[in-house]
Amino acid sequence: MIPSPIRWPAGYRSAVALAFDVDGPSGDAMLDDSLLDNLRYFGEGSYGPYRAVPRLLDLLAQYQLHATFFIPTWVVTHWTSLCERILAAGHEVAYHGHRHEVFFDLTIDQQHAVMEQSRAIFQQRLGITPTGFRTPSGDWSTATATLLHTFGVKYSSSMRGDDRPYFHPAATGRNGLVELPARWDMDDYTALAYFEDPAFPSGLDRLADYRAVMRNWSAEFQGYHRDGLFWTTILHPKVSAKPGRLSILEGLFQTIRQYDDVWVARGNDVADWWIQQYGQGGNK
Amino acid sequence: MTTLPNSYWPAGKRCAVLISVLFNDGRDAVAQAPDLPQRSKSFSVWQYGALRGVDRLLQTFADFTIPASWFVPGLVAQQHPQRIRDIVAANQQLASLGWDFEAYTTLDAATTHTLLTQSKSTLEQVSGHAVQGFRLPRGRWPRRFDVALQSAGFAWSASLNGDDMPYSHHSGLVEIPVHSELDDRPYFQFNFTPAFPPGHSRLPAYDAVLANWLLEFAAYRRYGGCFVLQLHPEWMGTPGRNQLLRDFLHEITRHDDVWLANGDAIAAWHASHAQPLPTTHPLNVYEVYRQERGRHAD
Repeated sequence: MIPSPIRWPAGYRSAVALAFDVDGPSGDAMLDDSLLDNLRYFGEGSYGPYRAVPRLLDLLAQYQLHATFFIPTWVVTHWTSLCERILAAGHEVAYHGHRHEVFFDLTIDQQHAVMEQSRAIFQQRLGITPTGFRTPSGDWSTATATLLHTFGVKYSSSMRGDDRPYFHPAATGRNGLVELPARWDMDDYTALAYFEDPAFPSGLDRLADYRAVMRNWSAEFQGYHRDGLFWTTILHPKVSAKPGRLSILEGLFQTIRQYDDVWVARGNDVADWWIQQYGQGGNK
Repeated sequence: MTTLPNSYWPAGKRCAVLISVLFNDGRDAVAQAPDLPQRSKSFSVWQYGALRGVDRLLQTFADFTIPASWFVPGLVAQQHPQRIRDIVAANQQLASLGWDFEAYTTLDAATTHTLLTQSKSTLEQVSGHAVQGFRLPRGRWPRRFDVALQSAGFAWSASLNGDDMPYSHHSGLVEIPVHSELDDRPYFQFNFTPAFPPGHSRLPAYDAVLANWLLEFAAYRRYGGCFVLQLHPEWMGTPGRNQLLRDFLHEITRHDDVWLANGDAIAAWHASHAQPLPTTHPLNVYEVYRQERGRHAD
């Protein structure tokens, strides 16, 4: 086996940051107000914080796994005690917009306003100032990384193009944000999301075989672990923590727990490690 | 916290299972593709349900003693009275699917009331039994539609989502939530032109659909929820898929802690055991959301 190209904490071959996006009903339909007259779509999203997340928290506890939850702050305001429970269980809560805004479509001033509103809600409702950010659906704009830096954000988990952390270019100084890249391969929408009004997937493709999804996701983890890399997920409780689909997550968690040399950490732990180990030298 | 008290369901049962059938006779497809009735080849895909699928489902349910709820548009009951009588004679329950797959958001209050009561009375006349349940045929849930359903004499709906337990609308109408992963249509609908589904997706492996449903059932049993399967005679009433259905029904009927009940029974149980909805329930958060956006309570 090839040695890991990355220095991880002693005894660990690879790093995993399990990450869940608790979007609830936020997103495009909330941004354009079409959700106001679509109770079914609102219910499909709200099922996440209302029913799915509590069961997911129990499952994570059962496997002694700590994760990162990217939560639009509109969801924080309406399910505050759930978010408190997430924090109390030792998980990280991080930025994901207020109503799941598409940062690519916003001016830098609008992005700033979203971040200010989110920070205020996190501070007032939960008493935290997050250090992580995942761009809500779609891209960010060229100035976003610099903006995030001014809010004390240390890392982003937004990009798709690598299998290990790296530094974004810095506006000033040596290094910008740490990027913890995720990939579509680990986005549960690709296999399990289905809704007809609005339609997703656009061709109304079939739902995948849960057993096959579990095997794919486990293979993804195992490949990254074999090569000593960093692996994270884009999982939405409203999609992959529906009752029967918890079996997929449980199978994945069992696979991860078969290895005692995988560092299961929160995103901010990995970002801190990266800054400490590689902050002087920049990207490898 | 996340598992419900076992005492929620009657006689210490751990979960409830509702097997429902949506007997649309193709009206759902016509609503999306209005020229379908002129395309005899394509329309026969859906007509197969009334011709063969209903009988095969009835025979299968009889073999496993399944008390299913059959949702039927009033127009379909009028056109297939003998099928309706067969369904009722097999100790199955009828519920309304509106009149002819109308989108109620496009109708005024008077027309809505007329079609709802016409559907209910037609189903009752053809079957000789009271009809209490309703399924929204298509389109979005109109504002305060629970009140419209109540005033037309309905006691429950199985149209919305947001939960996996029955819940009560503000009017008291009971909602038995449904989920697309437990509906055979997204898995099996297929036609070339007009295209169903729009992307002409591959058909799934039958054993994969069975496995998904078994995993869902096991989880509902674990968490104490209300499992609602939705079947269509034209998609599930075929010889090739019958074994899938039989394998599934075999699993759900082999446990003595599963309450297999029709919609009327589940709604009645919930109506007499309902707790106030928590403020975090999707139905309550939706009201707050509308007020935030300047929509007044109406």
